[in-house]
Amino acid sequence: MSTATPTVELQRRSGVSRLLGLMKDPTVVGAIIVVTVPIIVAVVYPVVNVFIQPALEHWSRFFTRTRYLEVLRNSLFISVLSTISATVIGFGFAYALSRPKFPGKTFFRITSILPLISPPFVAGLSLILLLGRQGIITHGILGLDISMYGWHGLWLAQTFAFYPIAALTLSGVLKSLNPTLEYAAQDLGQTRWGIFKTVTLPMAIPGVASAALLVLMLALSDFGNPMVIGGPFRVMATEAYVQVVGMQNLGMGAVISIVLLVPSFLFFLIQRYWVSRRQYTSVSGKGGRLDPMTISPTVKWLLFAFLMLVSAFVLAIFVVVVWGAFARTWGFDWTLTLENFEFTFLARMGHIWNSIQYSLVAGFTTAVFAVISAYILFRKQFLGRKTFDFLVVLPAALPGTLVGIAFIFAFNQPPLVLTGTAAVVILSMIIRNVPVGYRTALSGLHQIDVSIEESAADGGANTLQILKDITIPLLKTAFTVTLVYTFIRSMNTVSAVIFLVSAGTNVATTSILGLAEHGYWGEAAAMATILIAITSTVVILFRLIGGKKLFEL
Amino acid sequence: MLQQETAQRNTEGTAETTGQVRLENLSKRFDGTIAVNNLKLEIGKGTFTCLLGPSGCGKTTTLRMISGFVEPTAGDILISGESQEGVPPHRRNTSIVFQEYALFPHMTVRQNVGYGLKVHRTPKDELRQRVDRILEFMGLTAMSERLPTSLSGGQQQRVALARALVMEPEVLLMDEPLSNLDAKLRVRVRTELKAIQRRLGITTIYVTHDQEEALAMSDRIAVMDEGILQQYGSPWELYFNPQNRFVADFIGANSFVRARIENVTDTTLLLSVGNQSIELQREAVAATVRTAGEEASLSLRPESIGIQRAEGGNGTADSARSLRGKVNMHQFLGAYIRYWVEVEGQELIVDDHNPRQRGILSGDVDLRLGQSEAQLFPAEE
Repeated sequence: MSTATPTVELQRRSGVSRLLGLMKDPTVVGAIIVVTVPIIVAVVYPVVNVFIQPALEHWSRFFTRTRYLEVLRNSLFISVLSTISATVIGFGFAYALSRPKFPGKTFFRITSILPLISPPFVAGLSLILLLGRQGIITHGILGLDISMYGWHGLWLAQTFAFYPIAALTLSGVLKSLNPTLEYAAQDLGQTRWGIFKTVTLPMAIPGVASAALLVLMLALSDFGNPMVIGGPFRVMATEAYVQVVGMQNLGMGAVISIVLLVPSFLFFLIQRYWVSRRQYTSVSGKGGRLDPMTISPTVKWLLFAFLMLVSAFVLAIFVVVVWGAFARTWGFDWTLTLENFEFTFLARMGHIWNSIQYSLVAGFTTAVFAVISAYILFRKQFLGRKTFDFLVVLPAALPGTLVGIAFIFAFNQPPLVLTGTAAVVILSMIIRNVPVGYRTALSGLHQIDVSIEESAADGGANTLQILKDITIPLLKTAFTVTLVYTFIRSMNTVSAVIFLVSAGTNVATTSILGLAEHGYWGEAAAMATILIAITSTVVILFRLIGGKKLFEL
Repeated sequence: MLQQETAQRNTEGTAETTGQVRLENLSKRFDGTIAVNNLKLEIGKGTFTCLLGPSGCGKTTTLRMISGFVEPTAGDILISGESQEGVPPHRRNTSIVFQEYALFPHMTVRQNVGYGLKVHRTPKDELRQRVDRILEFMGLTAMSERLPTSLSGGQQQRVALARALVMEPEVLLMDEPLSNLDAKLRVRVRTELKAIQRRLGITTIYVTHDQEEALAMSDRIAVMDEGILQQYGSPWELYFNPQNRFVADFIGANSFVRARIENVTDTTLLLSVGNQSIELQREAVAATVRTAGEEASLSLRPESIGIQRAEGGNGTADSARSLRGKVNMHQFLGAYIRYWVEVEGQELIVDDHNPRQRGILSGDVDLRLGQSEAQLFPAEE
């Protein structure tokens, strides 16, 4: 008894004193405010606005009119379809790349990175050029007058746009599986196919589920591809745009974006509270670990052929876009010309320049914000810590459409009138990338031993000094990765910014969509080519200076 | 008592000449580095054999070649007289227990243990019986429906062993199976393991870098270094009769003293250590060099050296059987005192197993050596 009491008191006192100590450290309090206030202003406040906006009438109309029910059904149908195909292809890539001695690894790495660093609607744009009314294959070779507009084309486009995401996620999952388990199964007499079926696949299932959920979220909120190639096949994201921009029906737009939020928020919760707990990761590799098992020659070459086919298609997508950029009139006059680029430089250079500027600002701000918030939330004890962790990653659950519409509501009225400014565009870019940056920074922090910081604190340094001298240098990787990642994603983003750009603040992606919408394929292709050239240059430069953790399979 | 038992096992070991597993000039090369170099080994039926050596010595690669996961560059493996060339792991009559157990995390203990039988399409009733029997044998019946992650390290270890044993292999292979357990548990589990192996009489090849573990469990030990077999023998032979300096150094504590062979007679060896000289009984010294005038390295176990307070002066020991030295440091370890004694600029480790008789010594001491268990190796430059 006499020994127990002081311990309890000591603990209690240390808890209180920790809180008090925190209050005495102004940098920490300041940092918490710096993290919290923007989240409340840019996430909580707009989302709340979306929820209070629609009248009951909007809701009842949405659930009774066939127009909306059809859109809802379309969205679910195409997303599930694309998710299945993208996840299967992604698994093929990840599985092949996780095995030793698989032929053409570097090539397959490149073909699965390409779609990641280009605007998601490039696949749709290219499919039109390949298989559309004036497409090379359909019109040029086969002389057909059919079109890819509709769910078939959209399915293809989304599959190619999203399989790299599945491949990226699954590659991490498959790499974390302990190869020894497969050898154990082999030792007990199992065949290769049996090993795959009873050991590898069941252990990868939580990861596969997680990758599929991610793809589903992206497919559901995809705006660019349905816009370019969906034609009469309308989905939720495009319908919301039509309602808000075309019909000025903000209430209905809000309803659609909320409905869109429900599944992605559910996936977000499942991901956060279920999948992450079911990962079968194993103790990290000791020396002399066995290499992952090789695949049997038959399966290897079958898989190789399949991946080659997919890769050929991916390359075709990009070749066709570049070709389209140089062709005078696609489908009729194939002479090569620079006219499309001339047009771009004359009329649309400002939009590309906007993209670059906004993406750079967004990249820097996101990186700084992500690192600070990760640091605060990871290292410091304060009340409401878990809530803030939740808030920082919450934007990952918000479809771009919802962010766009929410920003219209939130920043069109006092106290903060930002509509039409560059700030609102940049803010949407930042918000959408903070979760990824934050997670990257957190995993960076996990590598830093607490004792390093403590020993510095022991030497009399205060929080700000420690952050500056120790933590930030150590977090450099997370910082640059977030910066480059946000830059590329922001260069390619569509679904949120399309609601937010004005004549003066238009960006490259929405500008391309506008051209495509009006059938200016050559000009659209030329701008897309410039965009891809910029992002791939950035990625190559980043790799050359030794950055490795970006889009690595 | 211990000595008797080990000596007895020693003779048992040498009596077995029919090899259950034979490694014939086995070699493995990885991109230019030689992991295993021309290994010849004959492993007797029912014996517990350790492959012992520091990390990177080739012991694990050897085990993986026996199990079939690694293809030898040259040489062959014979199990029960049959060549295993080109035979895949699951066709070999071996079962392996991995260092990290490699239990399937998505299967219960029962499913893990029954996995191999299921793969071999064992009839359901037989499968259940065999799994039940081995679970009971290993004391795992109570946790048969649990997932491996909910078990302790020692329990996981037993499941892994059960999964291997239920296949009734001719040869059981184990790759450092105790290295993930904490020190106390390791001692307990190794006793269990050895008891199970004895009861089943199964030929076992066991890889470890822990010499104490190897001494405690093995019938025979193959000591390896840099891919080369250094010595193959019973624990007794390895400890008291190491064939080279590496084995002497790797197994147990040891001191090496630079000496010069001054004179060799029928019964004695006269050595000089610095300015002192010492006479040893020839029969007590296993020597690979014994020509007068040669430089040599005298290898001594700490417990084979007697220590006492120095008698007389002059800085040299009175008796021809002793060396005079000075205590640099000591550690009192309860059962014995370990001394670090400097003799002619060289340090020897000496254990005094009778601390109460003499108390803790300091200053000048006389070391009596060469009663037994000394080795004379060529000097190392």
